[in-house]
Amino acid sequence: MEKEGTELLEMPFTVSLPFRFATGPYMGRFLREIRDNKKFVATRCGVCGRTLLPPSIVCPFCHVKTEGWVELGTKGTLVAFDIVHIPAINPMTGKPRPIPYARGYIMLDGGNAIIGHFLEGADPSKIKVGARVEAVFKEEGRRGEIADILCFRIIEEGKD
Amino acid sequence: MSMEEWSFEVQQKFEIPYKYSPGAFMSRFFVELRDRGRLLGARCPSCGRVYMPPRSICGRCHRRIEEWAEVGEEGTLLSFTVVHYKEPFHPREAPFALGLIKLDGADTGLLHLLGEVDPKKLKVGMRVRAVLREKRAGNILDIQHFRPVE
Repeated sequence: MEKEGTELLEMPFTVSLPFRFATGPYMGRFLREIRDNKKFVATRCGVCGRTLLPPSIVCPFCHVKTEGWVELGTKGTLVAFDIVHIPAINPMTGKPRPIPYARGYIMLDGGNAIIGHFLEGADPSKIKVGARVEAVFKEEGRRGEIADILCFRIIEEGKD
Repeated sequence: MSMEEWSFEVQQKFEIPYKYSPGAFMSRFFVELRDRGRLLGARCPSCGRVYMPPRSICGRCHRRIEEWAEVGEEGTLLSFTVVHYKEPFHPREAPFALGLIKLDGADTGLLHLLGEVDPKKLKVGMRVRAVLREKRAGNILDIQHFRPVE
């Protein structure tokens, strides 16, 4: 029935899904410290000694209740990174991310927890495993979300 | 601050870009609606049921449907619901009504918005008419809504 030349339609649109994210107590304390004090806090397992990020009530390795909170530094050491060349869609804006961009995995000072976030810049000759980095926080309008951290920036030892 | 007070809520929003392709069969329906303001149903060659919205396979006979049948812009309200709560993604400010409309010449109901009517005055069996937009884009909202026939 479809004769040759039938126009094939395409309907582009953007679905907007507003929602409220409830942090729960432990994630709440973590995000609250970022929002109010530009600090990272984690929980620590008394059995294996891991610092857990995002903080959890029970150690996922030892299955015991964590023994309390530790404050981690906002600086740390880069343990791994990716340079991303695919313009993945940012789900918060619906727009592709500008490429290339870098993701870093950072062991924060004061513990052994690893946090993943964007790195400033994406030049592979300037990003090295073992590099010292620091968190760059949003100065205004922090809301208690991971996006309150803009990125991690590579710093030169001795200057920080 | 006690543990109970650590929790809080963050307002966030996902934006999901999406491209819907109606395919060859439904494209014909939307092109006809957009360019000529006509509503085409699909008639099953076996049982003769006219589907609106059209479908390319009959749900009862499982036969391929290849015949279009124009249906009327007026029809009968089979069922309706009134939405009283507000959400940002709703197509209208609450309260608004959605209706299942059996257009004249069709055997199935088309789900769409009801407009130009006090939701309290809606009745199953009432006659309604499609209100088409002046500027049509080739999607189901080229029908603005259905309004009661005086």
